[in-house]
Parts: sequence; C-alpha cells; structure tokens
Amino acid sequence: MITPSGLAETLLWGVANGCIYILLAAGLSIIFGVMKLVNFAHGQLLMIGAYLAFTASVVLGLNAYLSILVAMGGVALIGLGVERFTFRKVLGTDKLNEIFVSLGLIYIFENAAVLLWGNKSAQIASPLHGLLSLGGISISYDRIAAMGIVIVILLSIIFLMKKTKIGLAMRATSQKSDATQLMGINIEKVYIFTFALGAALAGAAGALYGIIFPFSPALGALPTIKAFAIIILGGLGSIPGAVVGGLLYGIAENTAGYVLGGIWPDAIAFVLLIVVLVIKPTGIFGGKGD
Amino acid sequence: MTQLTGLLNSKKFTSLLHSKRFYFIMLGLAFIAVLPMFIGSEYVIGEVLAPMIIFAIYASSWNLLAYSGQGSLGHAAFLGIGGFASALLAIKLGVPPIVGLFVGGLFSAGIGLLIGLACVRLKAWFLAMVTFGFSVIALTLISQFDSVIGGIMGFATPLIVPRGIPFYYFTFAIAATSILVIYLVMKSKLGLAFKAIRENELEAKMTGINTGKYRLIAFVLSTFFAGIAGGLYAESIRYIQVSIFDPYYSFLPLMIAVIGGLGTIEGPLIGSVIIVSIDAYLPRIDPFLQGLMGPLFPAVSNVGPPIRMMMLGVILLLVVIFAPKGITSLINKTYAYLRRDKKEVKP
Amino acid sequence: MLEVKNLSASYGMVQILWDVSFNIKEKEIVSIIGPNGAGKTTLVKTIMGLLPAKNGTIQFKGENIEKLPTHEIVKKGITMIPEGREIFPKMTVEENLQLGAYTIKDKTKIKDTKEKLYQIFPVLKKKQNALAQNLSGGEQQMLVICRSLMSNPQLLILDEPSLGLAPIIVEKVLDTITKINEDGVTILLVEQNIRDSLNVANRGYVLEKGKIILEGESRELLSNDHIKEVYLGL
Repeated sequence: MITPSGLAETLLWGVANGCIYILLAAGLSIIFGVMKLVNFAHGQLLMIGAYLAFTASVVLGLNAYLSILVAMGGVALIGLGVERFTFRKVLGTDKLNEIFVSLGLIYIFENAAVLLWGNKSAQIASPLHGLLSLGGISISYDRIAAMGIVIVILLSIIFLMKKTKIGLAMRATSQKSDATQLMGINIEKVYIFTFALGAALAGAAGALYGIIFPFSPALGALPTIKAFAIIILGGLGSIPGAVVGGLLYGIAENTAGYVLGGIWPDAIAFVLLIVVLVIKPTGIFGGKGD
Repeated sequence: MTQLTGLLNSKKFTSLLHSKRFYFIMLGLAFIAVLPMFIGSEYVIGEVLAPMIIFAIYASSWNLLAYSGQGSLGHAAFLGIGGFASALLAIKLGVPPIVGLFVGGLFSAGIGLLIGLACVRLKAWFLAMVTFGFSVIALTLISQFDSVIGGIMGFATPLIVPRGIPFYYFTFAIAATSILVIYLVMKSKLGLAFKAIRENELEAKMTGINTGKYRLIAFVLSTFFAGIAGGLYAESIRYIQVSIFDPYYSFLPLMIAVIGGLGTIEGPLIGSVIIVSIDAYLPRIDPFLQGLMGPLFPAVSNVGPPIRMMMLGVILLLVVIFAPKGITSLINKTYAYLRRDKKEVKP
Repeated sequence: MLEVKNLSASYGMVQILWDVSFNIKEKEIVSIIGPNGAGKTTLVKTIMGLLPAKNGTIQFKGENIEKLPTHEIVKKGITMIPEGREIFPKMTVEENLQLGAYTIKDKTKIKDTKEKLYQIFPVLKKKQNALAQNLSGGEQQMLVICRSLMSNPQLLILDEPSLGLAPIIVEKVLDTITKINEDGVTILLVEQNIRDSLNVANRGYVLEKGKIILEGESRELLSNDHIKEVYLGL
C-alpha cells in the first residue's frame, strides 16, 4: 500500500542511504578526477572499512562512531600500498589494464576478508537506538548521525581541496598533469595522496554502512557499481556532482524498493544509469567530457 | 556470410596455410581431438575437458571485444541469456535443441545489439560498468518472471547429443568453428579496424574508420559467441539457474583471456586450460592448506578456497604488471630464447 | 649554465633527436629555431624530464640532470613555459600564480614576487579572481610568464611563446622576455618565428629533423644563406 507519508518516509531514508553512497562516490570521483583512473575495486575498500570498524569496536571496544576513524586510517594505508605497487605500474597504459588490476584486487580483498573474518554476515553495534518520529514520519538515529558525519567529512574535503597546498596541487593535476609537473610538483606524491584520500572516504563509507546494514565479504561489487553510477549521474570528477548524484541515487533506489518491491532496487538504479548514459554520456551535470 | 566465404578464399587464408603458427594450432586441435581416446574417465571428459573447451569459446568472445579496445564486466549476462534462451526454446517451444543453441546465440547477439547501439560509443570503463549493470538487470528480470521461466530454482536443460564423448566432440566442433571465425575476423580488414580503434581511436576516426560501427560489430559478434558458450555450458552442467548471472561468470573470461594472453588467438585457449585445471585439480591441496594455515584463520572452516582464489588474484596482478601479454608471450619468449641459443651455437 | 651533449630521445617508437649538443651561458638569451616537426618540443620536454633521454647528458650548473624527475629539475632553478601556454583553465589567476610558487616555502617572498609582477602587469591584478580560461590569449601568455617567474628561476625555457598570438602581442611578449633577461634570468627561447626570436637572442641554433645543423651569433645566422633561403624567403 503506497501512502503519502510512507512515500515521504521512503524519500527521507533514501536521502540517508544516499549520504553513504555520496561518501563512496566522492572517493571514486576524486581518484578519477585527479588520476584519470577508475578503481573498480573501490567497493571492496568499503567492505574492508566496514570490517576494520567492526574489529575496532569488538576487539578494542571502541564506540562505533569512533571506529570510523580506524576504518579511514586503515583503508587509507591499504590505499597507499595499492597505488604504489599495483595501479602505478599500469597508469597511462591501456585503460583495460586498470580493469584487470582492479579485478585482481577484488579477488584478493574479498578472499582476504573471508580468511580473516569468515563468510558470515556482521554488523557494527551502534550506541544509538530507536527512531525519531516527526508527524508520522520516522527515521533511525543512526541514519541521522550518518547524515551529519557525511556532511562534516564533505566539508573537510572541500576545505582541503580549496584551501591547502596539496589540494591546489590535486586540482592542478586534474586539469593538466604535465604542466603541473612543470610547477615543480611531484605528481607521484599527488597521486599517492589522492588515492589514499579516496580510499579513506571509502573506508568511512564502509564504517557507516556497517553501522546501518549487515555486511559480508561479498558486499563489494554492488557498491562499486553504485558509486560509479552516481559519479556518472552527477558528472565525473566533480564533488558537488557526487552529492547530487548520490542523493538522487539513494532516493531512486529506496523508492524502487518501496513501490516495486524486493528485487528491484539494484536493477532500477542501473536502468537509470543506462538511460542517463544514453541521453547524455557526460552525466546530468557534467560539462564536456575530457 | 558472403564476407566469410570471401575470407576463406582470400590471400590471407592461403597465407595462413603457410604460417608456422597455423600448424601449431592444427597440432593442438589434433591433440584435443584424440585426447578422449587416452582418457578413460567420464568425469575428466565431462567435467574438465568439456568446460575447458566451452570457456575457451567464452574467453575468446571476450578477447575479441578487448581486441577492439572495449571491455565488459558483465559478459555473464550474455552467457546467461544464451543459456536460458536455448534451453527455453527447446523446452517451451519444442525447437530442436541444436537449432535452439544457435538461436540462443542470435538472441544474445540481438540483446547485445540493443545494448551496443546505446553504449558502444562510451569509453572502455563506462561500457564495463554498463555491462555489469546489465548483468544485474538481466538477473532481476529473469527472477521477476520466475513463474514463467523458473530460473530461480533452475531446471534441467534438454539433451542435444548424448553426454560423454559425443558431447565432447560436439563441443569441440563448435569451438573449433567459433574460434576459426574469430581468428579470421581478427585477421581480416574488420580486425584491422578493431586494432586501429584500440591503438588510437582518434587517429582511427581521422583515417575514415566509422569507429562506432566497428565497435558495435565487435560487441555484437562477442555477445553472439558468449551466447553460444552459454548454451553449451548449460548443456554441459545439465541444468540452468539464475546463478549463471553471478559476477563470477562475468570475471571468468577476463581472467582466462588476460592470463592466457590478451589479443592473441591462442591466449584464451591456454588460459582456459590453466584456469579450468586449477579449478578442477587444485582443490586437492585444500586439506594440506587447512593443516598448514587453518589454525591461523579460525573464522573459516576450510581455508583452501579463499587462499586459492586470492592466489588467482595475485597471479592476475603479476601477469598484468609483469607480463602484460600473458602466459602466451612468456612461452613465445622462451621459444625465441631457445632458438637464439641454437643459432648462436651454429657459427 | 646549461650544457647539452649528444642528446638523443624518442617519442614512442620513433627517434626524434639525434646527437643534439648545445650550451647556454649565464645571462644569455639563446634561441633554438627550426621548422614544425624538427623536434623542438621533444628537446625541451627531454631537458625538463617530461620525456626520458635515450643517450647523452644534460648538465645544469655542472650537475647532471638528465635522470632527474621533472619536479626536481624545477627545484634546481629551471622553469618552462610549454607550447600552447597551458594555463590551469578552471583556476583563478591568483591560484595559477600560487602554483608557480609551489616550490617556494617562504610565504613573504611569494607575496613580494607576486606584488612585483602585479605591478608590471596590472591587468592580472585586476583579474586576480577571474578564472584563467576567461582571459584573452595575450593575457594568458602574460599569466604563464608571471607564473613561471614566481619560483625565481635562473633559467627560463619558452616553447613557442608567439604561437597563435597577434603580431602586436608577440612584440610585447618578446619585450617582456628581454626585460626578464635584464633582471638576470637566462633564457632559452624555442621558436618557429625565426626573425623575431633571433632579434632578441644573443645566439642561435638551428634544429632540423632532430639534428643541430647550424649555430652562431644571431646576426651571423640572420645573414646565413640557408636561413635566408629556407626560413626568411629572401
């Protein structure tokens, strides 16, 4: 039964889910924008982030929301290694090689997670309980917290990009990589920082995901594709684009689940993605593609 | 079709008869043909050799796509569509199974044409994403119409030829034909256009190649052969289920083609032998791995499968980074090295 | 100051430079001239480490730099203005200048240099918050020159600075280059526009098909028969 208040609630929860996707997509988008690299194993970084936060909260007894920091740091470190030892070797060669490296990483991350944490699904225990109700519409406190955290992280990223020296170098690299080197900027350092930053965002998204949803090692593939769909919706390489795309996606996904039922949310988003790509390959808000 | 007969009469085909590589391939084919006579085991023929051949077709279809500079992360969609279409045609409409197999391939190519019309102008990674998304959509649609199709629980596939040795030779004949066609395409003008697009799309465009058209042709051909492979695969495991749309099956041809050697005709064949053998025989070391490393990872009851899968990932990374042309190139290099030694000894 | 010896370089599979040798002394303006496709851009990209040198050596103030990455070469005191200007289009004028000073740690020094440049080019000060892509071609050329001076270089390399500019602006650019040189910056000017560049340069080298075929004082070169015939159409 579809009711107006039910629909409104669906939209609100969609926005909350969208926030997690925004974080994931922003990471993918930054990496793509600066390095022109597509990391198809991005969703696996989210999964690893969820497990790191899970371990921190179970083993160290950390508050679930503090464990986000552990996830960010841990996944950023993994990102450093991944950039240095795998992607750097194929950067600038055939684009298909990036897909192959990603696939190798997917196999490694998923199975490493199975080895370390097993095949069963897990969820991070949150200190927040219950729902906030406002005029017939209710939403869980965890989702409200997630929205707040995402806003804080995004503002920090925007500050980093606009006001710091490394942010300046990242923006320069995203526009002209050769000219950036001529400014005396070590582009390899920019790349490794960018990848670690993107990975940290995926880690944070993973921790938030793990607080709200149950997860397992096989979680990774769909989030990657969703993040990809979002940055295409919003325009490649743009953070505001990732925000708008993420919100649209979260709402579309949740509404599809509400209106059409169980198995449709994943598929409907791809239908949306394909339709957008067919009509405007650079995304709804994207300018001319590079 | 006329293009194909033209190809067979062309100079390229006659020059093919004189190349050393051609005889190696013929030797390999002869070897595969006589193999069942020496292997008595029904299991090996049905569960190892037949899948090897089928996945060689499947990986070759992916390889042809990559030959034109495109990538797909959702080829399982076409494997599955081919499998479901050929099985359903035979069961629901009473089409002879062997006709169903080809119509299944055509059906897959038809869907490929629709996806391709919309998406081939996209860059490699967009197409990879879209195809992945399409495999999710295909899974959803087949599940949605479960009352008609019955794909969630799965159903038995109709018999084309008796199991065992007849099926092996049937698969072999289709594989040989498919791979020959793919080879001829790669060596034809069409293949030259694919290669030009892969090397430098902009330049290809400027020399007057209609890149969109050729990318679409590559995509449709690739989905056709993926569909044929799907029909054969469903036949070989005797039933079909929506799990055929699993990302595992989308990643498989990529793994096989890359490890074997991308862009070469023999790469997917060699890769298929390697990957299917690993799949079939390596589980035997699982008890050993469990004894060795089991205590380190108490979270899993059997550490074998994840460790083996991880190693596959590591091998893929090593191949891409250190031997981007695959195992085939290593074999060729070794061969050239040995030859050079001989030459140096002579004077 | 810069000493290039027997330099060879390839672009992809094709060898572009063959045994190129030349030198620049301190405070000089040296011009390398040659037709389109002679390998001029490959030469400067190789000097800057954007392309690998296949053979030969490049010394800057007695130190070998041919194996250094680009950013290290910039830190040694060489900056380059690439062909086609290469501004950062979606950044403001101010941000473009900040990028030019990326290697400088001293913030007051950065500010002083910037103010000095703004005095010389008041139009840039007026447009300091405008996106670089919205400047005119001439203004963009001034912006990249200023940007390259932000790091207080000892050697400035310019690749085809006159390309695509109106003659009156070319004159202004060449004037600016002379002024920069008078301030103590050594200049390597790579140009297709032979008459103009030899007019400002002390010495010149002629690069054809990847080889240095002629060298000498600017005046000598301008009266050379080959130059007259092939380049000046006299």
